[in-house]
Amino acid sequence: MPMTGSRTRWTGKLVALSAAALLLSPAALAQEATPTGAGAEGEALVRAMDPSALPEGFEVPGSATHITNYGVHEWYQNLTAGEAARAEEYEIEFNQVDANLDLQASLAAVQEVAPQVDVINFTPVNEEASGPTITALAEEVGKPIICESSPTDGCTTLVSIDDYAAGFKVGVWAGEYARDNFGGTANALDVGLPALTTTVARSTGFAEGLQSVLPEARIVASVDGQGLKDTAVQVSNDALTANPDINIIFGINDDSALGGLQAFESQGGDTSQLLVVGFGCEGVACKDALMAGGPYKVSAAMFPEYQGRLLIDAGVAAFNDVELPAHIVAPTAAVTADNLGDYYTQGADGYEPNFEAISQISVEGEE
Amino acid sequence: MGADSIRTLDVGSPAGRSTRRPLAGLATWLFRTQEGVLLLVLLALCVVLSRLSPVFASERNVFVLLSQISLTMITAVGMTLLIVGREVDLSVGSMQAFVGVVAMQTLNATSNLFAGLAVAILAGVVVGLVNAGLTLGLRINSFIVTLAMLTILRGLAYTFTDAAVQNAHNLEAFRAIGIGFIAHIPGVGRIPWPVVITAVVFVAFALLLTRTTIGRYVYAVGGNPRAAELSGVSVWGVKTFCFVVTGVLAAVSAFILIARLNSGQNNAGFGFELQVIGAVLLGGASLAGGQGTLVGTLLAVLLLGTLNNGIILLGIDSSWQLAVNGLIILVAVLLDARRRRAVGQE
Amino acid sequence: MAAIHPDRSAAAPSAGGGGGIRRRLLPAVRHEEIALLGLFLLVAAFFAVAVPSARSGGTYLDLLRDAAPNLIAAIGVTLLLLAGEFDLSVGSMLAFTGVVTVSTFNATDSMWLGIVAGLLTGPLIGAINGYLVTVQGMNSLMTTLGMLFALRGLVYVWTNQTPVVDENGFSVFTGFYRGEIARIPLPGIIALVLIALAWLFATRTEFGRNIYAIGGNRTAARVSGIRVQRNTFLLFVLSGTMAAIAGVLVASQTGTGYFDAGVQGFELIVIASIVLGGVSLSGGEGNLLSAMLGVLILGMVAKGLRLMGAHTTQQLVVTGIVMLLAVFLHGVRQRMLVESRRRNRA
Repeated sequence: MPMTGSRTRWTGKLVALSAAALLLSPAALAQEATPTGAGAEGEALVRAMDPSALPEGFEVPGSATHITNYGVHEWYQNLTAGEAARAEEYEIEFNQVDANLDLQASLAAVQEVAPQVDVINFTPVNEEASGPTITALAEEVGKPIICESSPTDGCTTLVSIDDYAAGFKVGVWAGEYARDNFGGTANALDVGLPALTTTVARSTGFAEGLQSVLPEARIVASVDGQGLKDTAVQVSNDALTANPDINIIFGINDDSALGGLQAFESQGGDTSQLLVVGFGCEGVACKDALMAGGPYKVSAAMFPEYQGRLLIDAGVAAFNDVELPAHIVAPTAAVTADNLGDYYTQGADGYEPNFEAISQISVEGEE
Repeated sequence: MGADSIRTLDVGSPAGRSTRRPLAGLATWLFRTQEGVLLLVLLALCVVLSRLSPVFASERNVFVLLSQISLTMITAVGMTLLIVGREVDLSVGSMQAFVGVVAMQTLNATSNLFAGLAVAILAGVVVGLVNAGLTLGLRINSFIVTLAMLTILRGLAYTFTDAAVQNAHNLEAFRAIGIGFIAHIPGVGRIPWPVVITAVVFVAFALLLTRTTIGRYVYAVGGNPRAAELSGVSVWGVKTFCFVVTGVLAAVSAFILIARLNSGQNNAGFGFELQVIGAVLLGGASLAGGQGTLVGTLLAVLLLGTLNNGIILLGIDSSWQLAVNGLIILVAVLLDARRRRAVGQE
Repeated sequence: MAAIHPDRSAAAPSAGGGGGIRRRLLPAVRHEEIALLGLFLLVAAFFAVAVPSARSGGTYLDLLRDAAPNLIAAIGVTLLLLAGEFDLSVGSMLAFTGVVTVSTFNATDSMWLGIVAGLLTGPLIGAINGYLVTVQGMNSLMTTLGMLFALRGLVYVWTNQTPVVDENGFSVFTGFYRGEIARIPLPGIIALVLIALAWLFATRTEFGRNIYAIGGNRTAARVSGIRVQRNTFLLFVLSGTMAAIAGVLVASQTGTGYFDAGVQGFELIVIASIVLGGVSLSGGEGNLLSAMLGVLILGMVAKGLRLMGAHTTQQLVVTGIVMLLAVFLHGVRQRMLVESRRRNRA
């Protein structure tokens, strides 16, 4: 990683003044779902950012590094691939350091990286436990820290989906499906992950979305699949035995949902009377399962490649001292076999995201 | 209801009789051995659970439970041999990911079940030989060797695939290994394949350990390596055998795992090594070597498996799972310590 | 040579015949620190060449801060290992202590009460471990493995797997971890002071010297009049206390009681570092300073790989290989020493 810390911040600040004036131009404001309040213009700017046509006076940061919490997960592989691609468009040097779920390694890494780069992207292993370090670091280095996934004290802004809203969307879809196909019976198994606030919000959103359509719907069992397929299969097996009436399985990520489905099949259940609802759909497994036409019918897609792009765009804006809101919501959608093609094009190398369509998804009312 | 829970235990009892110590009647066996204590605790747990949950003793749940523990049990068989032989293998957790990924890639490339199985077993043999070679050849403590292998194999599993190797071959026989049933047996029900495989592995190695010269050598090498060496036993050979058996059985369990998951996950098997070793030690084996039986291991695996099954059946918050597991280990080890003192053992 | 180290040789007579060998190995024990220091410098030099940012002195001060919890916890675990006992519960202690500390902050609005309560968890859990092992005669590996699950589970149940946030926002507490005196980080200073005290304790007190005798040969130690039970009990209390100090430091770093602190195999990393420092898992062999160097070497490898921007897969594989290499070299050096001594005698 090169030493780019010597870049003077004074020019950046002068530029910011002119940039602020520019921000008020109508073009930058003409975005849908513009939130009100502090940073609204900044958010609009981020969403409309174009590396080949930067606002006048904007400086491009020399380098950005993302400290991920769990880099070997497909979500982070696709997210950082999106970041790297976007960084290349700007000609920003992009690197990744991974904590592999170790809180102390994560906190050490962010402190090691901060002095050497212009923009820090950070995914906390745990947001509460990272707060003091990030707050102190933000004061110390005075550089943009763009957080991903969970709101952390000290971050310049957060780029992440609204987990509750995304869960709610697929909950509603599941409710309507159960109303039309299961005669309104909805007994759901929640393959959750209670250790993370984001995944708890997904489960809550799903349950409330489901019940908004079918007030009689029940979550008959909630189990901790730890977000891992092997654990998900184990705990779902037990829960399915205890509750043979389960006809909907919700998983907080693709592995949890697919693990629940595997457990159901291993008990010889009738999959025509089952609906599996996933979350994330970052990987090939989910997309293939949706297209296969089995019980896995819907997933709350989080579009990691697009979110990676937003992270870099937010970093560039923050580097130019654009005021940003506390949270820039990344889009989500309930994807099914019918609409997956709108957002992804299946090619020889797998599924290519369609950024144009994804950027059109409304995030109104989400936070 | 009780009959079903007894049936759960029947798997262990034939071999249990075979390892019964000469002086012990059934009562002494129950109260004076680790196996006996575990059996009592397990029975008590089964009685409580069948009272509390109507589905606990159902055929469906018993077989779900037995399928669940099959992976732990198969690996624990190898681990028992290894621990009796005074070595340990922590790498079995990452083996679940590494072997699973490699085997699934082979299955996809060849669409041949036996090719996949052969590669899995070969990988198990290689890892076992590497562990043995580093431990015995370079004389490094096996705890460190296999801890290093635990991290290295996890790293390799991550390198070989971005996330999971999906099933692209759709072999029916492969599916059957994970979630299929062997023909319906009257009065018993449809027995899942993993349970059958586990039973075969268990019986084969129980016989090996109690009825053959190799078995006696394993105990001799673990109990007193120097004496074993002097009496002409190849300590090197016996320990290598134990490492390879552990590697192969861990690979077998990894193969069943990918069949159950229908994919080779690079994040599979986290903490599996502690689960397996914990069960083996709970079953009465000692890391000091020379002690332990497969019946004890089986009872310990059953006990821990039943506990986890029960927690979910009763709808208890999963937060309790760890705490209760820890308490059960503490209680079992405490009972064992008391028994040893009562018997006058150190 | 023995005359230069009367402190160590005092342990020898009680260990019977082994004492002679140990006395002859004293220079080896002495050289262990130097060899490990050399290894540390080698690792540091490698990264200094490979990564420009690893060249600044700040990197090493940061290392001292990052490694402080591991160093402190390793003190207690090392002394226990020297006495032939395990403590696997230190990883869960990090979480338990942190949760107790911050919960007490919130309940009493007093920072000092919270810190005291947090620190008291150490002697409490240590005493429970010590009681179970010494009075009840339970195996320490199994006991502390049970405690590892039970404590973590207790923390999960208690916190419902949400971090306990410091409602008062004690900035003195959170500032402590980042504080420094003359550029030396406060956690590092605490670690160094505790290491110095523990080193004096292990080498200059009778209790400390007896540790080697207990770990070397328990029966011989008992026969020679050492109060094995009492001393072992106190070492468990000490280990718990050290883990609690580490836990309070992590709570200070994170400003929360984090239920998953140390869950990524903290206890295994600590034990691996200690073994890397030449401490034998079967007790009686090794020394504290080498163990501490072992912690720093693994810490430096992790830090250097992060500075290089190495991917997780590479980090895992390299860490595994470094562990193997270090322990292998330790064995080679020991054998060479034994060999040269034998030749000298001839």
